[in-house]
Amino acid sequence: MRQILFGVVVFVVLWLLGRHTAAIVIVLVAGSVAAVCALSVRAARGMDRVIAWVTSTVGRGLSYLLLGLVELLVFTPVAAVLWLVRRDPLALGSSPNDPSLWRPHFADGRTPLYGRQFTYEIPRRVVGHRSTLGRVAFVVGTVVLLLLADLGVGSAIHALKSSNPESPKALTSYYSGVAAAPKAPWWPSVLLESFQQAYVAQFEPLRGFDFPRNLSGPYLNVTDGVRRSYEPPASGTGKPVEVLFLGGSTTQGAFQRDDYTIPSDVARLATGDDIPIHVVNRGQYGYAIWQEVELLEELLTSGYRPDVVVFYDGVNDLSIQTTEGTTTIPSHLKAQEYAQAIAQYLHPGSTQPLANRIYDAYRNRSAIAMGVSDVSSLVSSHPPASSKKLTPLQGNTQSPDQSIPTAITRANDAVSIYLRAVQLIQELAAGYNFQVRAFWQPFLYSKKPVAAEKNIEGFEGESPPAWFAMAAQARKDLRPPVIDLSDALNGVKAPVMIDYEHTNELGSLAVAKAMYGSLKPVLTAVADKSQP
Amino acid sequence: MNILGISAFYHDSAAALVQDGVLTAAAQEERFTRKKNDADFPKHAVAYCLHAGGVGTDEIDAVVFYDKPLTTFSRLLRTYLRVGPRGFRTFHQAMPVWFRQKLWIPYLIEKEIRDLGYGRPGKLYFMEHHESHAASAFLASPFESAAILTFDGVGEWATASIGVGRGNTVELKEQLLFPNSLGLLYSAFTYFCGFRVNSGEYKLMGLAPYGEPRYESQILDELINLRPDGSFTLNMDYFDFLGGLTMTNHRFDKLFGGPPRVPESDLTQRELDLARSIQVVTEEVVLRMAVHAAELTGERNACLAGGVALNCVANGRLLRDGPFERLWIQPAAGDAGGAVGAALAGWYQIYGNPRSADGVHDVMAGTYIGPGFSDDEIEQYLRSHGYPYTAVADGQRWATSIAELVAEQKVVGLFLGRMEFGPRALGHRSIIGDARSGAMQSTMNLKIKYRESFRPFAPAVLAERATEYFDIDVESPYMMLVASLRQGHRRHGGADHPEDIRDWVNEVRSDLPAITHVDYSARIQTVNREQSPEFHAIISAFDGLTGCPVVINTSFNVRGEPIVCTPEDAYRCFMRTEMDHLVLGRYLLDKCEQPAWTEDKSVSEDLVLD
Repeated sequence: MRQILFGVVVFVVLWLLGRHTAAIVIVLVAGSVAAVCALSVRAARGMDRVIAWVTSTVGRGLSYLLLGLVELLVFTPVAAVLWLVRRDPLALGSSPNDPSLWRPHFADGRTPLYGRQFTYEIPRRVVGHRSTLGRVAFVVGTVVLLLLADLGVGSAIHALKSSNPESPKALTSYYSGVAAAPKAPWWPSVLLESFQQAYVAQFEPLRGFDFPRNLSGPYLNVTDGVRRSYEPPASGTGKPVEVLFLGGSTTQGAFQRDDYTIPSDVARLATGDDIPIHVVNRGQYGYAIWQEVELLEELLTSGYRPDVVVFYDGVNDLSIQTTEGTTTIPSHLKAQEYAQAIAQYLHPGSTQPLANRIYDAYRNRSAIAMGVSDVSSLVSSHPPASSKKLTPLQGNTQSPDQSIPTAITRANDAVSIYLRAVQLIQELAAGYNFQVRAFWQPFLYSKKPVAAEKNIEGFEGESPPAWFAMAAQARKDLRPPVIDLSDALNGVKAPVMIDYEHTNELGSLAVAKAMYGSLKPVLTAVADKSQP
Repeated sequence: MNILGISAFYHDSAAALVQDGVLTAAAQEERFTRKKNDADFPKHAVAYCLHAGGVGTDEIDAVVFYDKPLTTFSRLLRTYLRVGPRGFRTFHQAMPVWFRQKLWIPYLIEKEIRDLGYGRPGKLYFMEHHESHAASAFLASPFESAAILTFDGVGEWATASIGVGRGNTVELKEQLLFPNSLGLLYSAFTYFCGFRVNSGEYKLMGLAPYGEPRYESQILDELINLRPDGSFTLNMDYFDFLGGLTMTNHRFDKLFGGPPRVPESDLTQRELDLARSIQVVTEEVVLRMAVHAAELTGERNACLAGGVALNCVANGRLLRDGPFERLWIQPAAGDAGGAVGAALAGWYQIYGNPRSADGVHDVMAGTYIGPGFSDDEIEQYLRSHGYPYTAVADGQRWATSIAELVAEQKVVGLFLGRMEFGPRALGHRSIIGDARSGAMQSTMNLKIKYRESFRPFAPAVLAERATEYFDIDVESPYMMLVASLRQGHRRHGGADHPEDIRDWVNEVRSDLPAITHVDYSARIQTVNREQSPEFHAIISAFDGLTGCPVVINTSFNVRGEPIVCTPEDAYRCFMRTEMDHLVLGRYLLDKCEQPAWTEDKSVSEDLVLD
């Protein structure tokens, strides 16, 4: 019985720590062992001995560790202070130089307390006459101590759960439950590079935010704002078609190596068809279409002349509606955050009250809040909301209003904004003489559901029902010339979604193939035109 | 009203039962579990007491624990604040025990009692450790009023206490506090001389007469700062017991010319002189404390308890040279006796029942308050195992038969009536022999007890003839006093004593050589007819046969083993040693007639060192 209880406790702890696979493995192992033990007394005895040995060894080790910490962190510093101030904790008010070391048994008229485990206590009447101020101080002190204890435990749990989110090990562990996560040696490094890039967003006045223009790593490289892409071998067939890719992190190639992003795959496909091509991947984490339009204008006005411009959008445009508030005007994923910061700078004290900020800071480290969150997520079968802290690209908290009608309104607004941008892009294309293709991207809530991807629904705190509704409504609202690639991933049997918006390299290839189907005539035409 | 006293979780756990003011049963847990100094909860002892007292399952009115655990815990924490990281080795050993067990004593007591099939006790009380000792000393004594002196290693904070008992109350007046402890000082020397702390102290006392007090001044100058009133400070620069795993440290080694003696190695003159020196200092401290206690209380009688009160040499000195006219020392002066004190304190101190004392009789009933076995039970045991025996129904013939065996230089194990409570065997669980024999001390030490031969045996002497042999004018029924053999029985040897302590101990220096220490002292038990008629009859018969009213009396056990409790224990010990005869009640067993012992090895092969 005790062993079963122990197994259940281990399972619950692992589950709450987010180690779902480990928890399930533990349950399976424990179940198998229990079954074997139920069938064989000898096996049960042997198992008992093994468990006793392991637990006693581990217990002894933990005992050494914990008691060592207590000794080191509590007793040693206090002992050092007492030694410094020359106070002997064993002296009890007497001095070695006293003429007699005999001490009265009960000082100050104290009387024995036979019902207690200690010798005497402060008389009850003193406690009874504690002043109002004293009572308040007692209550406040107790509450402060409890809050501090809550924070202390919460911080420890937080440290245990997340440790260093930028460590490849932590990241790999975090994504270990994602079926589409590649089982490849380069995966931890790609994860790390993707996250490191995401954490360094900077304010940019026109486009909202920007990222470092140069990054270098084993698998993710950016030079002058351009993600490295597949370079076809040099050929003498003519000037390559210059294709500019604009979009968010899915375009840029989060969780993918340089040569396996959507633009790289398109380039490889075109090269396979002998179409000379040069892709320029200017996807930016978190970008929605109006930011891309702005970027395109900057590029065009600075003299850059692409032959074809590809827009690949959708998720971020919808996300803006859920995180920044339903809006009918263009916005971006950090609009509220920057607005608050600017407002605070311009009008100190007028933004979020201090009490709210303190409460937020407390809630982020409260063990009780974490426990409530974990339990509620267990009940609702969604991962804890805190997990969104690890997602690099959407960032902000989802709106509490996740009702279906609101979701439909948001989809309508998002697509409306999107289509206005597409209209402007077409006018730019006509003015600057380039071809343009706008693709509406597939994502978890628009593609055909796959069982292995079920557990990432709600991974970033989003509401799956609301998002399913939003995705469906958006597709209904789309109009030509937008090309809807929502079904692009449906033909892939294997899981492809890393989270609700990003795919693995298999997913990006599927998207690239679908995209290339629409691009190929354009590329061919442009290439033919540029033949000498 | 049934009040159960319990001492446990340190060493020598025990239980005692007081029923309407009468101490009806008490026993140490070690006797049942056969683990020497067993410190676990005394569930067997509790079960025995409740059974012996005929206590119904819902009739435990109160349980009194002999200690205040939380106060002790506070002392422990302060100790670690004093020693800092040096204390880690003991810290990691002590804390798990506290958190697992000692901080939950009320729940443990309730659980264990429920596990025995009894209902929840009506009340649970906690006495201070030294209050329990003091109560065991005064409330069990024959005195109407008396000064009380308790001293041991340490209780919660107190290491020694002075109090006064009057009527049904015990009032502690002054205390000496940890780490200044006479008990721990003595234990430090016990450790340094190669004996086990908490059990080897009496060996050190037995060794003292062989030495000279050469180190007395070093002890008084360096180790303790003794005040005129007997209070003192220990110089902790020389001790390691606050946070270390040993009692003494390298400075102590340096002071006394080398490292501690390795246990079981040969004794050197240094150990003999150290034993004598610390004994002299102990006696001096006890005497000064006694003078202070007499001044503080104005009493002419004194009651003693606590581990140090088991030092019968110091007790004898206190009786001779101290300020008190009469002494009464709790026979179970160690922690086991705390159970008796707690139970008595419950009846008198907590519930306020009146107490009467006649100045003569104590409440300990000769300490024969442990488990007893009827002749029928013994016979059934012997028959069921097929052990040959001779039943002697006639009391006089029975006593004479045993006396004849002793007179024939046989070693006889006595298992009579109820077991003694406390560390001394007083004739009911004893091994006896002829005190006149020159070889008997060595024989019994090496062939029966399997222990160091320097230790003298105690004499059991008929109370009415004690003064013929010993310089003592009071009774010593509990073997708590040391007295000298009278001049007329001494034989003076040469001025020089042999180099080897074994030769020295075997020197014939009196007409009772087996019980005479090298300084002619003896730890005597006066046997009176009232308390132990059977034992008295045996010695009387021996006196009738030989003209000597003295026999050797040593505890019925071997080294490292608790005193026997049941007929089975007694028979096992009998067969595993070279004892000649065993008396189980009215049944006499001859070793030569017994079947070969095949159950387990001879005791000498798996001896547990104490």
